Amino acid sequence: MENKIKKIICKDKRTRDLARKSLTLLPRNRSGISIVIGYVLLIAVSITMSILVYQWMKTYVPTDSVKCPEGTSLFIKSVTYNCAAKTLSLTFQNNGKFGIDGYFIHVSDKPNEELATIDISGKLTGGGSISGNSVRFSDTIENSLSPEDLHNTGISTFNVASYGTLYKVEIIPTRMDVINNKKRFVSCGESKVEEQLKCA
Amino acid sequence: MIKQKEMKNKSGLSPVVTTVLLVILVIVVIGILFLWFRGMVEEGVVKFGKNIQLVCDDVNFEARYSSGEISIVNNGNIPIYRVNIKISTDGSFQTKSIKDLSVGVNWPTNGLNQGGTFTGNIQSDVGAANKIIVFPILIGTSGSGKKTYVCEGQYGKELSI
Repeated sequence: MENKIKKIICKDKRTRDLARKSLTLLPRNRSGISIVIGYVLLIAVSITMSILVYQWMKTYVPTDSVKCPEGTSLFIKSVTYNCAAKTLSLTFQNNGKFGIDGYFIHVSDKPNEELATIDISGKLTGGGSISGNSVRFSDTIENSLSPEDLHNTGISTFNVASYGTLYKVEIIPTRMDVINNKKRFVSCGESKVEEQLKCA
Repeated sequence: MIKQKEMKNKSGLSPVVTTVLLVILVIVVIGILFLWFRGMVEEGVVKFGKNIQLVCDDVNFEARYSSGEISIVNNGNIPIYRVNIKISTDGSFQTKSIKDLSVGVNWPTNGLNQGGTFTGNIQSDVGAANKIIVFPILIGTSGSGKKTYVCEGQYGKELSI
């Protein structure tokens, strides 16, 4: 570098002085760069460790759980259980504050059984559609049984010929909710309702 | 004289070699510490983006026992993969997974999803027990694949016999 500059320098004294001055500004040793590398490494390690700790810790932060809003309520307005024809007809009314999409239906074929465990959603013959192990009031409209609607009633009929005498029916309402920007099918276990069955 | 000269020329390990050795030593020590620490710390199991221990709070199920028959209904939104049944008899107890009982074959393969139900006769397994507690088992994902977690303690449901 010095040789190159020397070649370029003309014989003029002033130019020579200027060139000499600029040479003094050039770094003589490069040990300073290793300090910069040290800092960069330190910061990189810190950032990596922070990311790892964050990934691990974030799973311990409680988030919103999937559940129905308080005030969701479904009321069994009437039940008609025809023992001879082996049909069960239920009329529902939304007496809550939020729309209801459908319900899980379980019946009991033993008297005095505390918990109904027979799922009859697959035996639906009218008034709704089967969706997995639940019944939806409408295929196209979500949470169609709305409390704002004056005729907010839904009627469903089931064929229960494959069971003996039924004694109890339990209904768990369901909703479609947006939770953490994702549409979720939600079971409203807190709003469970039950009704004793008697032959019509 | 010659020996002294030779000694003076040997300047020990070069800085590059020492740095490399130091780095290798640090990596080995970190590796050993990591393996030791991993054995002590429980592996984090995650379900729905949450630690599975927190998910136990959201499990909502009902269980009843009557005339030898156990009934379980999942009212909530967390699928119950299996259940453990703690059977207490006169001061002693034993815990069995539902799959190990005679009715285990009827338990759904994927567990009880939302609105799922199960009923089965466990009279032969319960015998003369005076207390039954049902604990839900959840399945989540961890670094080593799918892993189950038993929601013990307060999450159990005691059934009257």
